[in-house]
Amino acid sequence: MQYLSVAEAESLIELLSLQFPGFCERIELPNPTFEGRVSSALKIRAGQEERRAGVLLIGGQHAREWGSTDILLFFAQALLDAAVHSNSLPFGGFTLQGTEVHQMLEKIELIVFPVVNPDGKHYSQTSDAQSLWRKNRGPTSDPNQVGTDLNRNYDWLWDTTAQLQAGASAVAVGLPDPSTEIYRGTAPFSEPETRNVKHLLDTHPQIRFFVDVHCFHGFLMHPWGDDDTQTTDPSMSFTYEVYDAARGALGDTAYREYMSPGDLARHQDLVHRMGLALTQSRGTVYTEGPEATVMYQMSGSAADYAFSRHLADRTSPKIDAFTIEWGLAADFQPPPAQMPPIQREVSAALTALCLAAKDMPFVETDPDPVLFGNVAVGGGRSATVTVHNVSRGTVTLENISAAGPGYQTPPPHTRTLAKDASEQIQVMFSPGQEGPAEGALRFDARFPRTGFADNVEVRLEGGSCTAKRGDCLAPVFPARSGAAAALIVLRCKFLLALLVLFGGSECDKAKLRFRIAHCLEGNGDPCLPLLP
Amino acid sequence: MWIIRARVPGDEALRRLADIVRGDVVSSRRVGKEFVAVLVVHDDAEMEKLSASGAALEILSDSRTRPDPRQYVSSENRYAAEVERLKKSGPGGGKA
Repeated sequence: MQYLSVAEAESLIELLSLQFPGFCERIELPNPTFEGRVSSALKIRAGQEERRAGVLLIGGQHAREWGSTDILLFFAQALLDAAVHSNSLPFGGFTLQGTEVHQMLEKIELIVFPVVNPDGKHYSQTSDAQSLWRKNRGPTSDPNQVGTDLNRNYDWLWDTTAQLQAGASAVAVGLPDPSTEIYRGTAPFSEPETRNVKHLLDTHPQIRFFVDVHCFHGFLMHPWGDDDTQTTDPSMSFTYEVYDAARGALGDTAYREYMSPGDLARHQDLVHRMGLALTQSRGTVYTEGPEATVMYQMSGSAADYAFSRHLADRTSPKIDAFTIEWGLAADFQPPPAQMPPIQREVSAALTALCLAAKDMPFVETDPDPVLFGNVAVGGGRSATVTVHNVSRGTVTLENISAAGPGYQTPPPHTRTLAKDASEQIQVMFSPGQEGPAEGALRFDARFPRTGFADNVEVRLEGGSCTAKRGDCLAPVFPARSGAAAALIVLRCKFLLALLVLFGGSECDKAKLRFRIAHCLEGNGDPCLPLLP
Repeated sequence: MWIIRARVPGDEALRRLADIVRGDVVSSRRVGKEFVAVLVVHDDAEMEKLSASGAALEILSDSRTRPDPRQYVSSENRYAAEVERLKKSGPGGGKA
């Protein structure tokens, strides 16, 4: 065995798409590299089912980690061979029959992007004494320096100078100095290679799982990378600037990055499933846990960015994200003879993730967020959330609960939802004190036969103000965009014209003007005064 | 080039080592009050500075004692001919 060159990896991608045309499609990525290389990914799926969980696997961000590309293409080739030719998977002690692989590919969409950084990889593989080159080959802010660390260039805490007052132990977060090996680039997504990864995430909203493959150390990790992880204080989040001065010191309580209990439990569960499969392959044990404590603290990284997308933008789908650091030897390029067992064990871990993805239930909720508006202290208002099961089978909704000040949901806290059926869950808001109140309706959606659960969260927004008679408060409404926003604005303008024509109240007119002006961003503040 | 494991007494010392290797840290973790870091050392000058830092160093890999890894890379494109053949045979010329 020998490592794939860049050109050879691209040929193998093309070859697989030609050999397995009914299962495999080559995706040409839109951003050529600085040296003009056009990258490509493989999309693998079987059958016609539309709704399925996407799994995006990327490798080769760091130029010197040659084996990541080979692992991902070995994995893709093995799955296709098994599914099409009914072979069992050759992953050592972890195996799956060809029919099982086919069934798995009928229920997921796998996207493999194995050479994210082709310029850097080519440089590392062909230049004198540069085999440990890490970055890409693009220009930097210093004309004498070449290359950005791609895994510090994503839009998640990219601006370490402002957002991460890192403790002295944070020695691997992105830096603005181009002479360093962890140069973050001139801006988030300044590099075409990271824009290609973002392109895949943006154009495939079904992607539900993401794995970034690196070496070495034998780690199976999940977010977060900037600080310790906690599950109790949602306000302590990368989205809040107020914590910029405290974020980034391990072991303290001034700041720890929030992950919801359900998200953390699911990430831990999936990492453990991957670890068990990997060990089953040939007995190797990788260390499991969050990036910051298992490996080091980081910023601008691909996996954290992938998971953070739904938190930075609630309209973005949630993506569970992982980083694998394959290999136990201190070697970025082990002799090729050592690679086959590593390929098999990492492929076993990736298969375990795909098997979990296959069993991902899908439910839709409406509305989200639920807007309760202004409710007087001591008063109450109720709303219903409709949950629609769009999965391929019966789903149970478990641990139904409402969190947040003044929110509650009555029993039953477990429900069963047949395929295509809907259920209504009632939520009550009874504020005990003045001010805005944010909360969440939470439940676990689970296929009864698989035991794998997805945690669902619907935002609850309301508040209480002491409004004197005659106070004019802004309406509470969700953000809208596109045609929906245009229709609302048109309707509001029509109503406003009627009020002007027929002498409506100044407060009603102010509310309509406010709605027109803020249609795109919405308003969740029930106490915002419009007129003195 | 070397890959080394360094053991230092605290985070300030760890920071100094990371600066010497221009941030090329493979991993770092706290062990009690100490930090254990794996670093990539790029040249003799960096190695001398690390040695002078007083940190306990252990060499894990030395590029001078191993083959040039470029020989591990395929020198020919093993798939190009098959790609061309399948392209010429048109859609459906593949195995599936």
